[in-house]
Amino acid sequence: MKLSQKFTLAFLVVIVLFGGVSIVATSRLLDSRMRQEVSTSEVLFARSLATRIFRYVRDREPIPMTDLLFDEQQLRSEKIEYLLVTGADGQVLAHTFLAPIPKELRNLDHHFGAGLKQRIQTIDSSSLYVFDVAVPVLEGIAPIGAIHIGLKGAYLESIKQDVTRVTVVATLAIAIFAGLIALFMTLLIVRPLRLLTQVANELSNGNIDVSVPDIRTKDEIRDLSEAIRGVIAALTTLLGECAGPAAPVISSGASIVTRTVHASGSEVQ
Amino acid sequence: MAAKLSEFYEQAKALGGVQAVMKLAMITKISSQAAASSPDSAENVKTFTEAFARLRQQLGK
Repeated sequence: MKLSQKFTLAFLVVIVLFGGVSIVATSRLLDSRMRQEVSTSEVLFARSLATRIFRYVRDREPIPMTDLLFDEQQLRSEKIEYLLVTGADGQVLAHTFLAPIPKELRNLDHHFGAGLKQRIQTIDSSSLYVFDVAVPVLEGIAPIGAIHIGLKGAYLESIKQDVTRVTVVATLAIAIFAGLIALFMTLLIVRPLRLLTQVANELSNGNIDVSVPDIRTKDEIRDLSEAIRGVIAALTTLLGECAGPAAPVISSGASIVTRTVHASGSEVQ
Repeated sequence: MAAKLSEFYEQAKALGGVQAVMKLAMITKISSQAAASSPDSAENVKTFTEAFARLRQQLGK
């Protein structure tokens, strides 16, 4: 595999891994935020509603209570699946279902013991996916009933999916952009390396009359080109010396000298 | 003709033979042939002076 391919692949792997991790992290963060949303704003809304329907629950007036529940559900229909009010005995006093109450809600715990201010249950069945937020309807400190708010699970999931989708698209865009940058950076590194490889190949073929590309970057590649330039200068000088009167001195040179003389023996002659 | 630069090569040869000449070429990146045809500019002379000092140090002379 070529160096450019390795660099580009490494960049892409890092970006994809980063994207994957950020998607998982976003998803988990949203789960946590969703629970927080349920346990704060919806509980507050339920308490406010409990205060408003207290009189109807105490006097057992289902009609105005039902009107109020429907009005509230209309205002937040994208979020609320149902509103349901029970008495202290668990009997349903009012609700917003136009059909019979789903069986999953018949077994809800309607009782609030001392100190229990709210209860959040996840109801996830084939026909119903909601977060049931229940708070007591209080008369003084005594619970006389409970109000349940069914927060649509699909609504919260859609928010999560939207954010996840945006994250995926953003990650893909970043991956493509990073890939292009990686390619560009790789070309910057690999191109001078290719040129220097060509010079080295020329040298290995015995051609020392080769020019080293002028690399102006102040990095290791420039150091390499300068080193090659030095080697070429040394070889050229050596061959000049060999051709001149100092030829016998060669035997005292380093191993590279010996190898160079063998490699370009014809020129020495 | 760069008499001064060529003189550095002559001195290097006297100092350490072909090995010294090669080292000088490696340090300066200018071969003896190129030195002979390069101008004795202040920059070139400075390069060779510094390289020659380094060469002396390496050879311990």
